[in-house]
Amino acid sequence: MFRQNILDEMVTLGVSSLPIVAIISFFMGAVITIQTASNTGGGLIPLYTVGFAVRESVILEFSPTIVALILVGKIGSSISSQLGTMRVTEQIDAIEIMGVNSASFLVQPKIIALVLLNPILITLSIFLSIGGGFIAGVSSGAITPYDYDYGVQYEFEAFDYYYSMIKSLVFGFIITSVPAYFGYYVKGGSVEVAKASTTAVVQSSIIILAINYVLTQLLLL
Amino acid sequence: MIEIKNLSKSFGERPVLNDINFTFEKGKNNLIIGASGSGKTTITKCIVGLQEPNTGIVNYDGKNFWEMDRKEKAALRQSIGFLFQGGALFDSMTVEENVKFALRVFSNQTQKEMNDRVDFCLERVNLHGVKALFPDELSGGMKKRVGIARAISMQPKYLFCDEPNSGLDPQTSVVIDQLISEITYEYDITTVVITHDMNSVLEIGDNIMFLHNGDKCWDGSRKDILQTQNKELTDFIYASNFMKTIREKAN
Repeated sequence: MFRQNILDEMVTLGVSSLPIVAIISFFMGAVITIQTASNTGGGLIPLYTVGFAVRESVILEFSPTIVALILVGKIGSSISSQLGTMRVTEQIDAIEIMGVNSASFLVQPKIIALVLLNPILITLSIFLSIGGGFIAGVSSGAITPYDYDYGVQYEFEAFDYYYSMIKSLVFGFIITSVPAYFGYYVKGGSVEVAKASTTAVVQSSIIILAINYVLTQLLLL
Repeated sequence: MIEIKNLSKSFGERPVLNDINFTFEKGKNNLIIGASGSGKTTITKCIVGLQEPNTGIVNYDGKNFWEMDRKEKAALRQSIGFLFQGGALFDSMTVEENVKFALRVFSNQTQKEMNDRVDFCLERVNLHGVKALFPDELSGGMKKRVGIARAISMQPKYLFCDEPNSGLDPQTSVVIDQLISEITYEYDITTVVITHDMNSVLEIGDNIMFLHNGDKCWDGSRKDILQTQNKELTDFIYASNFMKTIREKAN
């Protein structure tokens, strides 16, 4: 049953987030490309820099962090309100009285599911962002396909990708555990559940940004 | 049999239960009655282990719950069925999944055996054709029945019912009371019903404890309760005009 719960949570938390991750990533890549291209015009900076800048910013920062912040809004609020509602309607008490460890039963599968799936979501986001940048850059005439491809592949280091994956694992844990904490320990009624949900999203976002800073300093300097 | 000895509980400086002693007997409908705020819910939570008492012991067939280790507590809880006041049905699961929940977690039964058990439990509480429905598609009485079906799915030795009649019409209340009573006698289990409904008291109260401001003020059976001279209890029983009329007619 535990494995089944993890698979169910993977579908609920991960697979259902694919559309929003895809849309955001595509447009994020497109905007970064156009902005970089518009700021590097004039002929002094080679055109392939656009592809290079898109790749670096997407892998190192935008995909893991921005997608994490989006997922906090989508998944975090859902986890917090689900557990909060279960708490105030005594559903968690019902699980406890049956002799089931409610935290393990309800929270653990969510954490495991997203920690496993977040790297896949982020990898997909990286590809879609770079693809979105390619389409926007080429269709607007800001860059040639050759320059973009060259820039994307220019001096690529695998460590950048590993760095991104480390972030995505840590963020996957924060996105699920912090809102779960706020939802699981809520007291009161529907108003308190709503407040817990809002607090969970705000606190998770702040923690993600702070941890992002710490990880960046630890891994890149 | 569940025995509580010298059970006390306070929240901060405020005492909620004061040195309660009582025995909930096997094969009987044991009722905890009292006004709102008298400590009924707190004593129940102390008995089932959702709240730890400050002092006192809770013996399940001679073994103190609060001295058990985690595994023993988990094992004991599998033999406890609990009907919550609001039902506490898992609202994202169907009726079938609700009743099957504990079986899926704890039993090694095959899918067919679990389905048969679900059918049996739903049949026992006289529910038909609701397996695929979600809790929000059920009436209040049906939710209580599903709650009872879920509570008996693991063949419990102890059944707790927290205000099983709250929010129900008088006819449905009687049906639920009778159902709880039948299950108690049929399976010879220790049933504890928390209520302030006098109809339930007179209908099924084999062994009654009356709580008043955290103290056990009276205990006895439904036969004794109408004869009592205990002031707090008579104030509680005859608070409504309906009961006052009955007393006047009886006199």
